Amino acid sequence: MGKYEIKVDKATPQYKVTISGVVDEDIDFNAYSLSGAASVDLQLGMVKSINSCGIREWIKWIGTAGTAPVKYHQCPKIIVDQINMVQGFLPASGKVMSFYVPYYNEDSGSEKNVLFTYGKEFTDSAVNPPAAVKDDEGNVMEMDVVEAKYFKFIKK
Amino acid sequence: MSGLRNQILILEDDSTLLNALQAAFSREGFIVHATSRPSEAKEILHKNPIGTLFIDCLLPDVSGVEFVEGLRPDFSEDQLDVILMSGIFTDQAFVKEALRATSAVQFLKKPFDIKDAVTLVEKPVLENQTSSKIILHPRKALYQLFSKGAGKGALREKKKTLEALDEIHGFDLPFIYSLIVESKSSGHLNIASAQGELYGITVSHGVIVGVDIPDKETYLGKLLIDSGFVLPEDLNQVMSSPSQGRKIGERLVQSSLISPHALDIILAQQMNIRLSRTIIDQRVNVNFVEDDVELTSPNIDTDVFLTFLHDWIASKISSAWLKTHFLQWSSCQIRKTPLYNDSHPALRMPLVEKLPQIVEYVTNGKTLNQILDSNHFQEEPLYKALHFLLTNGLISFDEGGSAEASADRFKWLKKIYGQLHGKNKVETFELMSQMAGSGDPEFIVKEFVKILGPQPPADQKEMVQVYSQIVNLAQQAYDFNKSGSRDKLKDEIAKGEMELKLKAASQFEEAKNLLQKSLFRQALELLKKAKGVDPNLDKIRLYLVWAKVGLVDPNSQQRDQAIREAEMDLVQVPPEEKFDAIYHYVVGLVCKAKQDYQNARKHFEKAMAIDSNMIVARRELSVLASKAAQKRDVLSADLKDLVGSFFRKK
Repeated sequence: MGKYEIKVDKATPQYKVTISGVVDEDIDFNAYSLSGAASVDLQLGMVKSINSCGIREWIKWIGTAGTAPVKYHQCPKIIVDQINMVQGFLPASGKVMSFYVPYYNEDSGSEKNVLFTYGKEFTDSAVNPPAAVKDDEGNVMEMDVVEAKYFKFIKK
Repeated sequence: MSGLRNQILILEDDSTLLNALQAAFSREGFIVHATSRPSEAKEILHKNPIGTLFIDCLLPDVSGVEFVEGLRPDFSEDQLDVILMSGIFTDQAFVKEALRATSAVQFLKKPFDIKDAVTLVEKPVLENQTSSKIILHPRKALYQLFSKGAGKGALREKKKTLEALDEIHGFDLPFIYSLIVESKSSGHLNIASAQGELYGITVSHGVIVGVDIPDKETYLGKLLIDSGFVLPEDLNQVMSSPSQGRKIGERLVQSSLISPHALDIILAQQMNIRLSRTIIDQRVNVNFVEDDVELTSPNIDTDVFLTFLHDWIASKISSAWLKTHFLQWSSCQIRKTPLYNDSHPALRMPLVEKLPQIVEYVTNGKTLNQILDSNHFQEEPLYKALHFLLTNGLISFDEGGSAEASADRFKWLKKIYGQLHGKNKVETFELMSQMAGSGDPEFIVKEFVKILGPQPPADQKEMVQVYSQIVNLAQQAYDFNKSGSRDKLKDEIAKGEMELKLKAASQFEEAKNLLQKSLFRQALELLKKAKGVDPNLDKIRLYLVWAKVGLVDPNSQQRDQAIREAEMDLVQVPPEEKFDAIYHYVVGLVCKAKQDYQNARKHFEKAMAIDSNMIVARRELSVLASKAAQKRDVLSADLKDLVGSFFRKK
């Protein structure tokens, strides 16, 4: 595998896309046009990194879906950051279905990413974090993001 | 209650209760106005942004209920919370009717516990000032990071502070770049401008290996010629040959016109220009994506970075921005960070070196106010030198030495008032947001009041008055910002500015023509006017130096001073303007004024190499050539001919 991998399942008009690896100037979305899709489901849990060139390419590519609904699944923090910062990174017809939230325990230094799912840990206008998140040793962990910044997209 | 409505009015004729309430709310950080006279209360309400009114139902001349009913047309429930108090009218029916008629939020039956009254009012943002743990705003925390030293904890704190940043000013970027370089981070800094443009910086263990900006101009040709690595004719030849999909640099290397190492040097300069162009006078959003990035060439290592950083601070960051930027720390002691050492190369860079004794001043525990009061330095060079040291992590501001603890707080408040006074509401809010550093209006206003500190003690009346004036201006700006009028005014200002800028652009063009005709004085007047309106006019600093040098009288006593000023102006030319024919022409003029004819000729020749049609450079070369010829003649001519030439009829 190179720096990135894109898989598009066009067996039905409900396209299923998986992206993994690094999204940068080397990524080539040309062979993966989304035009003609009735809807698009993107699995993003394996995206490792993204830079400004990759963001530009992404916006052009995601635009090929036109007005079809686009759902983002398992967004890692780096994707959430771009959704919050870059206009068009999540298209107007797009919706985040699940995303990771980093947690941290200051004493043990343990870190963990917790998946927040639409309808459960968040809705269109609110976040309902799990009552308690613990690390492998049973230490209680705290959310490791600035909530006002990280959850901005939920109010978008 | 919204924004910074942390002002309370108590209208009560029982002086014991009045004083008790005043003391309790003051302790909680509110600005408290107290009176027993309804007429005075009205005046206070109209002059100050009161958020809550405590009012006795039985007042001399008028009932509290009637008083509030009379206020409501001017002060809606959203604007003013009312709390009624009474020890006489306490029956259920009266209370119910009084609450309805006044839209009051609460009715307190006397006697009541003062603590109960305090709990009725949302605590003001100032409360944070007295809490044991002061949580700094991410942007303010950013500028304190170097004081934390190294170590795993400090590294995590740096990372988390970078992550917490959201909207910042483009002039904050050099500090962020410096922090990423110093902490040897690897990854991508993604930057989005307010216009939706995207920029990106890629770093490998603190070495910048990539800069991505939507750049129309590559500067590569100018850089190659400027460096002397490639002759213009060779470059033209390679450019006119078919590219076969290869970049210009590769084609030059393949044609053996430049070595790969020399090309890397040029490409690093290109990165410098691109980085410089990200430092813009507008708000930007940033995020940092950690990644394992390979160290590649070309790159900008820490040594080269230092010189670039110096140039950006010298040339890109405006004095007005720095002045506001440092306002929040002006009463804090400046101290050395763990990164400071006497042999740090930053101490030998022009911004620092050209200010004698600056290092002693900023490293012996003085505050910025004290340094300014010493009148030892001019403001602009002082701010720039300080910012350079701060950005390199060599100094920081003492968190503990807040404005509250400082003896010169009054002076500091007056300075802030001076900056706000006379500004329109949009400008006031912009200034507040620069100090507070966030895009969210509610947050800006709260953060701004936090920076102001708690209300000064009541016995310091003058200071309380200035404090209240600042808070009032801030409140007005906040209210205006929230209302729809803001966009309208902003549009009007933008339109007005556009007209002024168009005029400035035309003055600039006229000045350029005057310079070509050597009419320096008229050109200088026009250039000063144009720069006053639009300091971002392309290469205006260079044209100003041209005009100033043109006016230098070689026989005047002020010649050396004028040349020094011109040299300082040249330090403040941004990197993207340094590889232009006009830059070399102006540097040539400065060299010529210093009678350094050899370097003058070199620069005029470079100007010609970049722009072969530059008539003024050609003219200067001719002048220098004839000067050289005259000199040679005198030295080499036959004595008889030489003496004869003195008497020859012209």
